[in-house]
Formats: sequence, C-alpha cells, structure tokens
Amino acid sequence: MNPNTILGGLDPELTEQVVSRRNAVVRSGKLAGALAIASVPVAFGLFTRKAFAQGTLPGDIVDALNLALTLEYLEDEFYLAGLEADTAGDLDLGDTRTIFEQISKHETAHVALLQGVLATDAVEKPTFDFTAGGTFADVFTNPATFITLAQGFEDTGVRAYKGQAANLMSDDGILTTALRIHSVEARHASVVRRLSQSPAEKGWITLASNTVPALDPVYAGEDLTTQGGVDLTTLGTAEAASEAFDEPLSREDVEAIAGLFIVA
Amino acid sequence: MFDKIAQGSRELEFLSQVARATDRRKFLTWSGVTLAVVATACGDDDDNGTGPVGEVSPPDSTATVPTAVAVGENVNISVQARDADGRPLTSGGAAVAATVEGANPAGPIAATDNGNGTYAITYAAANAGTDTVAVTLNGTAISGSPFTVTISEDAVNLGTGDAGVLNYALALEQLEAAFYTQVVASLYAGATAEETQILTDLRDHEVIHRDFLKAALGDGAIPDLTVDFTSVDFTSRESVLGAAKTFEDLGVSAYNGAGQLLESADFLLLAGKIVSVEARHASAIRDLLNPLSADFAGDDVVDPDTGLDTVNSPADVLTAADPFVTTPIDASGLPTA
Repeated sequence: MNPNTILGGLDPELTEQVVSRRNAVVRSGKLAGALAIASVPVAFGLFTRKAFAQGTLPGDIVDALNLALTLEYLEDEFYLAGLEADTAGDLDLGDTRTIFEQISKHETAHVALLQGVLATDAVEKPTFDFTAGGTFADVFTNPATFITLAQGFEDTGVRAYKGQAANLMSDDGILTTALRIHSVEARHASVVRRLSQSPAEKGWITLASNTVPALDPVYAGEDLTTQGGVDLTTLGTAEAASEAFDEPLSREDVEAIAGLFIVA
Repeated sequence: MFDKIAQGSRELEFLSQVARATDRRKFLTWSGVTLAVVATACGDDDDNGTGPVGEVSPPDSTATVPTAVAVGENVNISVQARDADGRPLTSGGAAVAATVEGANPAGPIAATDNGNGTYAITYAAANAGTDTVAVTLNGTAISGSPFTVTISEDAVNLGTGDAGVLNYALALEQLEAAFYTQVVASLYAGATAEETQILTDLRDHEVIHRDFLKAALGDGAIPDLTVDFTSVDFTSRESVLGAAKTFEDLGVSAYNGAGQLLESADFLLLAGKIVSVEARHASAIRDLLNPLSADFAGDDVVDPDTGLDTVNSPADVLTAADPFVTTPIDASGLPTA
C-alpha cells in the first residue's frame, strides 16, 4: 500500500475498517435488491435508494443524484462546521472566510435542490467524521488542514458529477441541472486550490500530482493525456494536456473517498 | 395650342419625374447608405427640376455603394455626376476617384469614365472587416462620402447533430485560444508572476482544446474563424482580465447548455472534461480581478438561491460572441433539444 495515500496515512485499525467498507461499497454496486443491500455493514445504505416510497425517477438517475447528494451533505456540513469554528475562534480562516461563506451558501443550496428533485427517493444525511478517524485531527483548528480537505472534497465533487453525467442523459432538465452544479464545484475547486500554499497550487490539476499526499486517491487518473483517441502531447506539453481536461471518477472510487469521512 | 404644348411639356416633366423616382427606388434597395442623399436630392428636384442641366456639382453628385460585400468579391461603385439641382449629367469629363481606408486600404483609385455622366470604380475586397470609402469628384467629396462597406466572409455552417455541437465548441475554443495567444504575445506591463503563469496556462489549455476538437472532428471541422479583438486593450490589465472573464464565463454557460444537445455519452463526457477546466479558469480570473472575494463564483453567475451556474443556448452564446468574431456563423443546423 502506498503510504502517501489517504488509506496509507491512516492507522492500521482504521485502514482495515476503510478497506472493508470500500469492498462493501464495490460489492453493493453489484447487488440488486434492497434486502441484499441491507445486509451490507456500515454506511452503504447511504448510497442506495430507500427501499420504500420510491418516486417516479428512473433508477439510474436516482442512484446518480443520491451519490451527488451524499457528497453535497458532506460538503455542506464540512463548511458550516468550519465557519462555526472560525466564528468560535478555533479556526482562523482570516481573509479567506468570504470565500468559504460563498462556497457554503452554494453547498446548502445544492443539498436543498437535490432533495427537492429526489423527493422521497433522497438518501438521508450520513453521520460524518471529518477527522477521518484522527488522520485530519486538526481539521477545524488548523486552516491548512481545513483547506486541504476542502480541496479534496471539491476536486472529488467535480470528478463525481462528471462520472455520473451519462446516467442523467435520459432527462435533459436533470442533466443540465447537474452540469450547472458541476461547474460551480469546479469554480470552488479552483479557488480553494489556489489558497493552498508552499508551493501554491494551480487552480487546475497538473498530471496526477498534488502537494498533499493524503489526497492522492482524489487525483488518481488525472494524468491522462490522450482524449478521444487524440494524443494531446502532440498539441502541447504533457502537463498542459493533463490540466486541460478533468477526469471523471467512478461511483466506487467516489464512495471510497467519501466513505473515509462517513461514520454511519 | 400653346396651352396644349405647355400641358404636354408638363406631362413629359411628370413622366421624367416618375422615371427618376423609379430609379431612386432601385437606388434605395441597392444602398441604404445613400438614403439621405436621395432624400435631399428629391427636394431639390421637386423645386428646381426645370431648365437645362447645369454645371457638375460634387456635393450634389451621388454614388451607389454596396453596404456589404463578401470576401474575395469586388466592391463596385457607381458614381452619377449631378448639377447643383441634383439633375444627372449626361456627359463625362470629370475626375472621379476613391480612396479606401480600413480592411482593404487602396487608392486613390481613378474611376472609369463611362462618358454619360456616370463613372465606375472597382476594388477587390480581399480582407474581411470594414472599409471607409471616400469618393471625390474634381477633388471635392461627393454627397454621402465617405461611405462604409462591410466586407464579410461567407457564413461558416456549424453543421448538425453531435458534430454540429462539437463545432460550436470549436468555435468558442478558437475564440479563446486566439485571445490568450495575443494576450501572452504582448502581455500588459506590470503583470505579476502569478498572472503571467495563469494567462500562459490558459493559452496552453485553450490551444489544446481547440486543436483537440479540430482533430476529433477531422474533415468535419469548421475552418478557422476570423476574430476581432479591437474592443480589447491588450496593454491594460483590467481590459485583458475583463475580457478573459467574459470569455470564460461564456464558455462555461455554453458547455452547460450544450450537454443536453449531445446524443453520444462519450462526447458528453468529453464536454464535461473541458467545461470544468473552463470553470476553473473563470474562477481564477475572477479572483485575480477581485482577490479573496466571493466573485470566483459570484452571485452574478451562480444563482445564490439554487447554487446553479449560468447556462446559455447556442443562439445566446453566439450573439454574445458576435462582436469578437468577424466570420458569420450559421448555427441553424444545431439540435435544439
């Protein structure tokens, strides 16, 4: 296991939990019925439709939007907690507070919007642990850690929405709504990345690199330099080619990343 | 008898006025530019249109000048020498010339004397843009001079279906790539290291987007569009970053609106890979303009109640881009849903 990844940075006991949770997530994608899903331990019910009171939306749309809603729950609670810690004097966001207030406003709106679209199909909000079991113990006291996680969440959000777009194609209105959230997440990601210092991150992702090793899983596969059969390194440097295109994440990878911060 | 002759003379004069009015009408349909000229001459005719035609009067002489010509065509100008009462001369001999400034500078170009009071001037419209054509008769400007001629390229048709949507994206990427190429080639004074890095990155990204779409579309790709950044002051930080903000926000809204027009999931994914990078650009440019503010995702582009970014139809995007693109774009084949 790469010690520089999120998984590698965790203590052994937690790592075991996370890995088992990840495996369960992967499995849950192959399970068909509510009973089987209910038998999966830990938090995986969070990513699936409620067994009852299903609405009229197609199943693949419900699943895609619930994945998005889970991330939005996570982001919304994260920023509200950060702003509260700043207000309490525990986390000094300084002159970056305005940026996080704006982001927080959007995440709260996204939660409400997705809940509205999903109606009775909406998953319930999980219980989060933003320290990921202690890995990011100072998340709400150290601005650097807070910004690091914000960056990871926003870049994950961009990749998650992108990965689900194809599942929304049957409904133009929902697809467009999701795209309009997707680009807002990218605006967030860019500004948060640029708040990270030493060395300053760019607003865009160069290859699969990032200056926070614990976030490597968020960037896995971002170093693609061939698109649609075109070798982009014939059109520019590999760095620029990778920056010019953001890559999607699969449902399983998104669930694995989010799962690190979900207690139940 | 005398009365009859006078009556006949009046009839002839009436017929001649009708004929002139008919010519005038043709004139109007040929050239909107000469509208005011004709109206003035009309008043003169009605009051003073009798007696022999007098000396040529440059301020009363008129020209038919096309308002719009396609690139590669000739601009054909017809000059009618007239007397002080606006009546057409029927013999030649005047020195008529045109001087062209603008997209196709030329001249003075001597006119061909048709020997019947009319003169012909022709020049080639090799470049798209706007020409200002000054026409003189015996060294004095004629009525309505200088004239304005718009030289436009043939419309580029984006095509239909997914290829049409990708060509629409290519048009926008061409615009952005050309813009940042010029920005970086003549960067405004006092740019910080961060600004230089960002603008250079943006150039590289947009060039790759453009060249990627061009390669992906192959023979179906639209040709290079002619762009016009005369409204941008490339020596001014505010002007450059302001234009960059406009282009990036426009690009985001365009891709957001184009997603539902695509049939192929592969193309939707590719568009998604590009749009989030455009949104990252928009955020960075906006933060450069107003650091540490909420502008990176300001309420002017992200609805504060829904948290949704801007979305625009191709028609609205192309209208917004129109001042920066000289080549006419035909988007009529694009899907609408």
